[in-house]
Amino acid sequence: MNSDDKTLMLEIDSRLDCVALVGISIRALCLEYGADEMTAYQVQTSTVEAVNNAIIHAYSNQLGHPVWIRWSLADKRLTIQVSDEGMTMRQLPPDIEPEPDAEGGRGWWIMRQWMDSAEYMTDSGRNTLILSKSFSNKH
Amino acid sequence: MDYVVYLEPSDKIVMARVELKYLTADVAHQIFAEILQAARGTQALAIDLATVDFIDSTAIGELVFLGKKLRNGGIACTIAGLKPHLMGLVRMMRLETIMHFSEDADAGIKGLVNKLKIEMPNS
Repeated sequence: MNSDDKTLMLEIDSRLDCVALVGISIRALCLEYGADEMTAYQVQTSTVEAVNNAIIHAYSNQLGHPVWIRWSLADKRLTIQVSDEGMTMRQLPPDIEPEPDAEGGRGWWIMRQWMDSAEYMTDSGRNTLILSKSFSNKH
Repeated sequence: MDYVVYLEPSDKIVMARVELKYLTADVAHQIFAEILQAARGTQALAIDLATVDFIDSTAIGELVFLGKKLRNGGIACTIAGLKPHLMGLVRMMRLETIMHFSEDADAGIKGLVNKLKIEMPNS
């Protein structure tokens, strides 16, 4: 790891009222390390969507389970990993734009629109969604 | 997350002023259910979201659900005061094709009054 690389680990309980705090923290970190306002907002939103998914879908909205958020920055490339030990997604949502009157199904679409990549993996009972974005990208 | 919904009812238009910064999955359902309840029996609803800095997709889904309920009930609605970055999200979702958005609460109320040809509240 390069000495200029930065990493922060956060852990929250699987409660939706904790998620805004994660978003606030991620946005502040992005701004501190060179992201512009729009990029920081897009990363904040994508992270909140990822954490919401872990709580709502992986843990079925049950309290008392851990959600881990790992923020790291190396060479202006931001990576955010959101991990849970809940139910594994068997299939990723299709990469199609939701209809305007859809009441759900926007989270993954937002992440795919605003991050450079969104990858999901499972290892030893732990599910991880990896979001990445270059700070030098034009939005 | 604490929030306050100020309701200014009249027999024709309900003004719902939502005071919170983060309109997210933990509170959205409760807030919009409260607003829907207050709007029953009126002709129009203006929802002022000027204090909101952040909206997640769950809250957007709840807003869409509210919009459908209002349309089915024949109640006109406008969403007022969204900040520019949130309007960007609205446009990306093409929500402007199914809901009405106003620059601020005053413009929203005036628009509803003109649309429905009713008197301004408190006039």
